[in-house]
Formats: sequence, structure tokens, C-alpha cells
Amino acid sequence: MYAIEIENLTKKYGELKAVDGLTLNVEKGCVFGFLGPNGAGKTTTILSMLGLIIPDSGNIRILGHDVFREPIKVKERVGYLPENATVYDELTAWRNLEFFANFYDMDRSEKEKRIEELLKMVGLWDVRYRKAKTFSKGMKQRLLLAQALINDPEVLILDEPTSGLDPEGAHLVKSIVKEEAEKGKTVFFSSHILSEVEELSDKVGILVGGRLKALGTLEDIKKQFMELEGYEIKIEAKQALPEFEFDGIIRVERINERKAIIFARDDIREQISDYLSKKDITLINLEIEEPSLEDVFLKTIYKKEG
Amino acid sequence: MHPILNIAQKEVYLQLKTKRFYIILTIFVLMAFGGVYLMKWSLSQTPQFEKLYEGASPFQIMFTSSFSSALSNLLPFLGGALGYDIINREIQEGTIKLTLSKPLYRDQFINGKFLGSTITITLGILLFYVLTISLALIFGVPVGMRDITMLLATLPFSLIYTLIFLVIGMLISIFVKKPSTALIVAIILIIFIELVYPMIAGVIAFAMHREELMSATSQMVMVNNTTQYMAPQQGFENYYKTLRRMLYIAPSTHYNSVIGAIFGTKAEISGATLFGGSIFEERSIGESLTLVWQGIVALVVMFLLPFAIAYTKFMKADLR
Repeated sequence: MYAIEIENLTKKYGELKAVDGLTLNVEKGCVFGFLGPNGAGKTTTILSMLGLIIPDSGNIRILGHDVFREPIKVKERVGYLPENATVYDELTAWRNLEFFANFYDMDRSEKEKRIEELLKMVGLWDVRYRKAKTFSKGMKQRLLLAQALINDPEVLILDEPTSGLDPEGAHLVKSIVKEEAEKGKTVFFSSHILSEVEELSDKVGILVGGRLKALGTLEDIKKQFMELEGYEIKIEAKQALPEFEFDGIIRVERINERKAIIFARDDIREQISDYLSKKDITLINLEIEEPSLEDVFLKTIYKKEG
Repeated sequence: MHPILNIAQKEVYLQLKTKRFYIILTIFVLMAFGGVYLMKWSLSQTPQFEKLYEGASPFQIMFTSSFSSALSNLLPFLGGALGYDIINREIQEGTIKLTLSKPLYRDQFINGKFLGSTITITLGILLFYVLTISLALIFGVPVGMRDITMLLATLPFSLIYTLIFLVIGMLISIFVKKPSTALIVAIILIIFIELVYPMIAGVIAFAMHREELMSATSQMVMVNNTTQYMAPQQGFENYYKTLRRMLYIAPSTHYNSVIGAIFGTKAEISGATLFGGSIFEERSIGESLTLVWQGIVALVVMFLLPFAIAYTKFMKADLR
């Protein structure tokens, strides 16, 4: 069962296609990292998921409910942390959370308990009666995170959640995402911080120019990338390496006479090993250099731009 | 809590803390002082205006004088000041995304905002009324039960008149993204509707009836020991009718006629009435409202039209 189903989503701003026929499914309990350069259409997709932007075409279902036909059923079970937003500055931290909690069917004691729990979790309990306008950006971001969790959501949608946060704040956000994931919640988050996506995500989607350029687990994406871009095979032997001349090799980069990097169209480690053993050369190391997410991301963007 | 009430409660709380609300309240306080001073002055001048104000209480005189037109000029600024950034500021600060990601419909958001602003405006107007009555009592101006009843009867109309400008402000706030630009647009629009347009209408009406008003049959008359140029009654009435027709689209025309009617002014004041007898007549508030029902309907329509446009536009807007 999918927690999020996006089907053929298209949104234009004038002549510009912000999102172009996006189709994407996110399984329940998955932490999905939504990657893309600025202007790729990540925020437009997220805002469409909440009904804040009305797409030109396409369908979005969250937890089985159509976002535009049954918005209340969706919003009751979703928590959202927007990018570049602020809380109500003239309200205290407590009053801000109370205002957001009032939209849910909770009795007073339940509400107060939840607010207390969240303020303690994000480290704002001691300043709960201070107006939000006196808070630093990091404190406001933590309060924003608390409001996203006020209804103990089944699906958490986070738009650039660590943007502008200090390392401590970023660590807190990441640990909360991990905790929510452990509880079996679905987390959909956009980010341009690749290490963060690599650390948190079970599945990744790369959006470029409104189109989904890659989708899958990190391993899948890297594999897809290598199949498309070629394999980078590191080789080190005890003796001097011979010339490599067989099918599948794109080029060979020699580091010294015993070390080299072979760029190949396929995983040809077995052939290399056989070839070298026939020539009585002992191998010390023969491994595939996996591309980092950064390599995949940058090449995906450049390919689009190129 | 119902989403509309939740938003309205937050809106009232935040609006009551804004500087602009206190600036307008301060102007209200100054106006109340001015109005009461005018009442005291009119009491001392009674012999001069005896015929004109015959049978009227100081309160009636005050609310049919320049005080009333000052109030009709100030209320639009209260409405506009609360409305011009009601939506765009939430979009700019991103708070609208937080609120609308919670389980509520878009129309509940705009209705909650509208309800909150309506409560704030009601509080402002009530405060002004209470202050005016209190100051009158403090300064020894007689205030009867009938005066208070008449004043309270004006409340819904003062409110709806202010709400016209609140929804105009809302409309601006939906169409203009930057609150600072929206403020300028709102001020220009209010000044045009309230001050410039009536002047233009006056000039056009005068130009249309210039011949009649300036005809050879015009008379010189003595009014209050000064010589005044009196146009013939027919010419004056024609000019007045044209002017009223042109001012029909100005909310203040209807507001002033409703307030005037509630405070007992004659429904049609001709040149002859103006200089020949009292401008007031004895009648109940119900009778007064019957006389100006068209004006009341016009006020309601003027409120509903921009609200409907604002509502429709907001329901379809992309909230980025």
C-alpha cells in the first residue's frame, strides 16, 4: 500500500512548466528523499500534495484519499513543515502550538499534554511563554517542526527541513525524522543537502526541470547510474599491469604500473580477473568504485542542462 | 474548536496588538473629544440655529453635522487598514501554508479572517460610541435614552460601511502580493472613493446644471446675517438629483443618508427646507430605516460584491 501516490502531475506558471507529468509512489513507512536543484519543482509538488497549489492536471492521493476531493481526511493525517516559513511572531511558542492544535479533534488535556511533549522534544519548553518574534531562526524552525508533529501524523512532509539550521538544530531534525521512521511513519522530505538525503532516505527521487530523472533506493539509483554512465573499476596487482584490450572497456586510466582505473560499460571484474590470472598476475584489489549520491546528482543535473 | 472561530480568535488577538489599530483608535478618541466639543458649542449657538435644529437633541445635531462626515471618512481607513494585508502578509510570511496544511477548508480560512476583523471593527466602533457618550456626560451635554438608542441603531450600518472597505482591502490583499504596495493601493483607492470622486461628481453635476443654477432668476437672500446667492428651487433640486445619482456608487452617500435618517433628518432636504425650517422631524427608528431602505440595500450590495470577488479569487489562488 502506498502512502503517497502522485500520478501525471503537471503544473505550469505561465509558459514555465514547474512540474511536468510527475508520477511517483511512496510506500508506507518509507523515508523518501526528494532531491533536485533550485527551481526543479520540489516545492510545487509538495504544495500540490497539500492542496495549496492547484495543478493543471494529475492526481494526488495520500493514504488512499484524493488531496483535492477529500482534503480534510488527508490533512488530519499529515504533518507539514514548509520551507522559508515562520510561525505567528506575536504569539508565544505555546499559543502558536495551541492555535494549530485547535484544528484537530483533541480534548483540552490531550492537547496540553501533546504541546508539552513537543516543546520539550524540540527544546523550547523553557521559553514556551516567550513570543516567537524573540526567537532565533533555529528556534523558530524547531517550533515549526513541533507544529508539524502536533497531530502525531502518519505522513510527515518536510520541505528543506534543515535549511538555515545550525549543526545542533540539523541533528535534532534528523533524529526526529529517524524516530518517526522507526515508529513506522512515512516521511517525505525535500533537500539539497546530499549527505542528509543519503543518511536518512530509504528511497530517493531526483527531480530536474519538473521531471523525475531518477527514482529508487540509493543502491538502485547508483546501479542505474552506473549502467548508464559506465563502471569505474579500481585495480591493483603485485606485478606490472598488462594492456587491457577486450570488449566493454571504454578507457583505462593508469595511476602507476601496478595500479589503474578501468572505465567499462559493464561489470567486467570476472573477465579482468580471468585475463590477469592467465598472465600469472596476482591481484591485490579489484573493486567497483561506487559513485556517490553527489556524482549521481550532479551528472543528472548536468545531463539535463547539457 | 471550529476552524472559523479558531482563526477569528487568533485574528482578533493579533489585530488588537497592531500599531495601526491603536493609531485609528487614537483618532477616534480625538474625534470623540471634537464631537463633544461641537455639541457643547452647538448648545451655546442654539438661538442662531434655532429654526434649523428645532426639536433636535445635541446628539442628533452632532451626528448630522461635519462630525458625521468626518466619521464617514475615518471608518473606511479602519476597514482598509485591517484588510490591506490580511492575506498577502500570511502568504509572504508563509504562515498561510502552516494554517492551510491543517484540517480546514480554504473558505473557512477566509471566513475566519473576515469574522475576526469584523469583531475587531465592532469593538473599535463600540469603544468609540461608549467614549462619545461618556465624554458627553462628563462635559455636561444632555444624553437621553433616545439618543443612545439612535446611536446603537447606527452600529450595524457603521459596521457594514466599514466592512465594505475591509473587503476592498481584502481584495487588494489577494491581488497585490506585497503588503507595502497593497497599503499604497488601499490608501489611494479610499481617498478616491471618499474624497476625490464626490468632488468630481460635484463639479460634473454643477457643470450640467450651471445654466439653471446661475440663471437670471436667481435671488440674493439673507441667511444668518450674511448675503447668500440662492439658486431657484427647481435648479437646486435638479442639481441635487443629478449629484445624488452620481454619488450612488459612493458608499458614504448611503451611509450618511442612513445615519441622517436614524438621527431624524428629513428624507429630502430641499433648498427651501434648508433655509425655511428644521431639518429634523419626529419619527421612529423603524420609520427612518424604511425611508432609506434603498441606501441600506446599496450598502449591503457594495459589501457583498467585493467579498464575492475576493472569495472566488482566493479559492482558486496558488498559495506559494
